[in-house]
Amino acid sequence: MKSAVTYELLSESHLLLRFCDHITPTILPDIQIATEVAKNVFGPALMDLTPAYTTLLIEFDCLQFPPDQAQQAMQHSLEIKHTAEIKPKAEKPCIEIPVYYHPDVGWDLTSLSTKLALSWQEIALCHQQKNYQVYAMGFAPGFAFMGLLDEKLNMARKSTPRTWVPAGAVAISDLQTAIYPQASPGGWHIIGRSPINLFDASCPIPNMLNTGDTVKFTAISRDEYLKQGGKIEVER
Amino acid sequence: MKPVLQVLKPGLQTLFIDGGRKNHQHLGLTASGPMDEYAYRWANRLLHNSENSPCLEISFGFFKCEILSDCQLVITGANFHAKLNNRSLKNWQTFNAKKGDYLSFSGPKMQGTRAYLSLQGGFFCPSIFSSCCTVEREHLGGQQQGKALQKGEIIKALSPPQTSQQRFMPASLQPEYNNHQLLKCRFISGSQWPLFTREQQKKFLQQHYKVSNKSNRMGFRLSGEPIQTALKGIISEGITLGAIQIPADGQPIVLLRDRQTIGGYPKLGNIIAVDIEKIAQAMPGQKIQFIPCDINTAYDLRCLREEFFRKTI
Repeated sequence: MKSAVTYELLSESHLLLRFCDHITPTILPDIQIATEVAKNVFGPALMDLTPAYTTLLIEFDCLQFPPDQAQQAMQHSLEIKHTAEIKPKAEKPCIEIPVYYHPDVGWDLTSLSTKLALSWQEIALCHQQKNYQVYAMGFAPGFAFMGLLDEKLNMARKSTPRTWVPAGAVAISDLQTAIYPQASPGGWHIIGRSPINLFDASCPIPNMLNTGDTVKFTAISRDEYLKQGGKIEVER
Repeated sequence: MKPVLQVLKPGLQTLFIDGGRKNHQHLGLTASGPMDEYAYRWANRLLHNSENSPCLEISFGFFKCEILSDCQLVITGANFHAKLNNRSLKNWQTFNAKKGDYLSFSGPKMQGTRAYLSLQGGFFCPSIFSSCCTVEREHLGGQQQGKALQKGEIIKALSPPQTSQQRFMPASLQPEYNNHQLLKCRFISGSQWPLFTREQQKKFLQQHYKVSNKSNRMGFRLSGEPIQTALKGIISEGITLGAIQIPADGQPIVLLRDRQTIGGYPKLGNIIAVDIEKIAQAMPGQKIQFIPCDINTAYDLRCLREEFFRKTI
């Protein structure tokens, strides 16, 4: 472990680990290590694990694991990890996500173009130029918060959210980007749409993305988008 | 699997619920589970069902169904003056029903807001991500991809339903839900508590908050004199059951079963486990006061409750 971890018992069955006070990709491996450690420490007493940006929330069964012991055990195991040689995990391949960038599906491209003083084509290019990290999953099943965007694309979320954002919509907000896995309300700016299904409840592994993954967006043509099952819909 | 009930009136919101969708929050799936865990667990316990059996969670009453097969049932939790045909039923007491009977609930009687109906041997409801819990916004759970029970829906029994000897919970052990009373909820203050001024902390502790009608399974919104904070927000982090958030308008939100997995509002603390169901049974308009508590007390109370649960019956 590289970072100094602080521990907080939020309740009799919740332990929160904080790894850093600001968002940085360098602590993501530490959160992943702590996730594995927590699985070993708590075993069947583990109820849920929620990693997010700079924290890991551990829910445990306090009837099997009293709260003070929970904190001690976790602290102890992480300290051992701290001194022990940790074999770096084989680097996971970058996940490539095809996106059709066009005002027909990227409903906010035109308005963003004015606000950011960039053409919509420049916005699309800029969005593809970086590899992004998945910092957290949340909001909805399979929704991955990715970052960080180039400063040029920094735009606060819409003041009035849309009541309907279609599945596959690729969107940005502040320095983050995401793909809506299902149709839902949403306040992020839509810049394109991916034909990929990010969350399939009928699959044993339903989600395509996980916290800690690296993601790259690649532009595809309208024909390619339609061929892969993409839809072109009007705003409701 | 034998059909056992047919829904005639679904009521305001009647959902298939079990112990909750555990170990899936890392995918963004809400934990869900029964709003009143105590009443839910006793519904199964009184019928000797397994711990995690599906029950119907009936919010605000007005549910009506026809019995399609002789069976034994029980109602726990809120009192909606349930009737079997014209006979009044008591909560926390199993009863036998015959094919052709009608089971109906009237509305809230200021004695809780959520009732649990369970069947001896258990209702059948398919599981998705290890739970049958119905979550509409995730299109998951229940018999119709996240939809609450609908008129005409048929509910099946997991094992052949049968009538049986009656069992009940002694009145002295039944929780009292009185929606006229001031609700005292114990909480553990969190690491952001000191970031609120002494004055704001005092305001929080002294107020009698009103439960707003914008309260649901995700969370309860409270209204009172706003709590001010210089904190705009924090980096989004995992949210616990019972977390007390302070959004920009200063009106607390208590996060409950269908809460989002992560969030970035500052938090004052967390309601202790054994007081969660008190708030879950609260009525819009009811008053709530927060009482400071510590982890050890919260833990002891939780253990005591479990001991009682294990050693009874």
